[in-house]
Amino acid sequence: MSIEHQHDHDGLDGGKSRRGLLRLASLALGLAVAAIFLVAIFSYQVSETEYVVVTTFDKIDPALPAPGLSFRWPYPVQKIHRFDKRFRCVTGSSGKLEEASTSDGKLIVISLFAYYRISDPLVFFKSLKTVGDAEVKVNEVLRSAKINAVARHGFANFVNTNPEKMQMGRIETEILDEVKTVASKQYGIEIKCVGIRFLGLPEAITKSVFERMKQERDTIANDYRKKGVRIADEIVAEAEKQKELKLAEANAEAKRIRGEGDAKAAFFYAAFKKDPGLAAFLRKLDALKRVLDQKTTLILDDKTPPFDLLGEGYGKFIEGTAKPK
Amino acid sequence: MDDHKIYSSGFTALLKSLRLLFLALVTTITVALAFYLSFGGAFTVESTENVIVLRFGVFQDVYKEGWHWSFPYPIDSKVRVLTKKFSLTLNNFWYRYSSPGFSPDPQSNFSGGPLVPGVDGYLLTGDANIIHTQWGVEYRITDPARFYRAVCGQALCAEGDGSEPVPAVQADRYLETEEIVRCFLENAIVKSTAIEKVDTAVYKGTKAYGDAVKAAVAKEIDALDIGLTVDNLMLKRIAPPLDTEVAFASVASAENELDKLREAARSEEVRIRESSRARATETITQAEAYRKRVVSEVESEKAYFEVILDKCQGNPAVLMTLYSETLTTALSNVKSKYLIRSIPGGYQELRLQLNDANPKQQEMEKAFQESKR
Repeated sequence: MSIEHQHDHDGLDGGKSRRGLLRLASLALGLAVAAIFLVAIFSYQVSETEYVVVTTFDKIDPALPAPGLSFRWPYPVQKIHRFDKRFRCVTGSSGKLEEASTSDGKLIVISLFAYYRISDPLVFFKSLKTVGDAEVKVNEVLRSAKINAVARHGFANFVNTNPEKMQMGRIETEILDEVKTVASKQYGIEIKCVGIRFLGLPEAITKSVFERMKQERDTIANDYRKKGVRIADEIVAEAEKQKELKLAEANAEAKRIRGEGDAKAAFFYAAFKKDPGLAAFLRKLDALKRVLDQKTTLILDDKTPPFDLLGEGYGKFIEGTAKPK
Repeated sequence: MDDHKIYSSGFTALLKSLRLLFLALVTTITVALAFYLSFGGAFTVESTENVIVLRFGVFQDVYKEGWHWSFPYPIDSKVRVLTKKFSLTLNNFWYRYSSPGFSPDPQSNFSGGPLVPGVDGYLLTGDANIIHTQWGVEYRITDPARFYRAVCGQALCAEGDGSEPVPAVQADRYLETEEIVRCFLENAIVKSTAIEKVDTAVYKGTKAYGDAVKAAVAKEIDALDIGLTVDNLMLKRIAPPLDTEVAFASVASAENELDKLREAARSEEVRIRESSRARATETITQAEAYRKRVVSEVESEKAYFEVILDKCQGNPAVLMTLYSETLTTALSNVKSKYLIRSIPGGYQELRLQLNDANPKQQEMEKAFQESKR
């Protein structure tokens, strides 16, 4: 073989291997893409927050697939029905504002809510299929149970200042007990709890409640006013009483002190026994000085000393005294 | 012989271009796949959220703030859960609660009257009275994984015929969460109010009432175990029905009056106490002063008496002198003195003008004297 032919031959061999590799890569890529499409068509995912019911030619498969990737035949051979298994609230539309009668004949308005989830998807799928249907059914069973429960209890079990007599929790439990078995067996629904969202009275009755409230308030207001006057009087009376006691004690003490003074003074008075007449005379003189003041009008007899000097007797006395002996 | 010599040149060119196209396609697909597998799985998590990664629907992990990578959809699904604080205002127990905000619907001009269930909200207290309240609650998702497993989001509850669960419209899950919180909050409020007295709830124990509701709702939400926590509950407004507002105001006013009367009585009590204390002190002080004065007076009198006695015993004229001096001093102080000569056995008539210090009389006399001049 010539060199040119060798080169041509070598070139042809290199090209063939490159093309071979390319074909292999293309084939692998094609197979990968095909595999992706096949997986997409022949599998489905089940989230751990949902139930999946598989129907094959509309026949329900009793086995529930576990969370993850599962095999399926493509639509329309198999259909996948998903139901969220998590809790939700239904607040009830039907009978929401319906009046119910208590055991003592009082009308009340109760609105409920239910906290529920789908627990048995097969039963659910057979009986209801959609969540909307489920909520309608839940409302219906709640409504019936509510009326029954309210009829078993008096108004005082719904509102009462004594917490032990207020039985709303117990009433909710009674309603729950009545609905949860029906919901579970007939509809595949687990109702975890039932609660009262609103408790009220019929419109006409609220008016009479207002009147009663006004009367109560008026009574309370009057009581407060009377109490205020009474308390004020009591406080002042007590203070006056204490004042009298204090003053009486003070007077008694003052008497005692004065008595002490008088007793001490009496000790000194003993000295006046030496000449009682002189003592009396000196007291009179002292009294005279104190009693007579500018506001006094004095009317005296001319015989009163020293004015007796103005009389005739003293003229003779002076004459008699002035005469030499 | 070469193969390419078998085909025409045009066909050969076509083959070549097709090969090139195929090469381009393969390259594009390869690059796209590589790009999708690498960057398609990258995601960032904000500070106010957590991201839950599910592999073929099965929970894998929770990712917090930052940049992360996981396999792209449909292998891994990412669920974003907001962990920020949510606020909810509950107006269901206020009159005309269908209106937004706190105030009654201004268009309704509601000024009182019977309350209509379904339109007006209210609560019944333990003593069968009616009150209106408005509440605010703040809550957070504290356990995103538990929350995701527990609470249904409306977008994820839709049925399909095999379609894969698309990444949820996150807002719907929070609506459902809000509905759950609202239901249990209303329940706690209704039950807590049903054992309260209206006076306690509206006036005297409003804080305790709010705390009782907060404790009740926190307990119920915790019992649900849905990875949600109530951070705060506020009683924003509480009021009696409009029709009874005047009556309630009069009670408040009467209570104020009671307090004022009590305060006034206390002040009077203090005044009486102080006055009695002052009088008692004065009485005792006077008595002590009397005691001192009496003792000192008598003591000085005794000393004076003894001096005079001593002097008198030696000289009786001392007494006379004393008498005269006293008389002089005393009489000199007296402004008006009348000396009457007595007629023994005779009848005398004496007329005296007393109280000559009458100012009016003095003026008249002065005027008379001036006129005489």
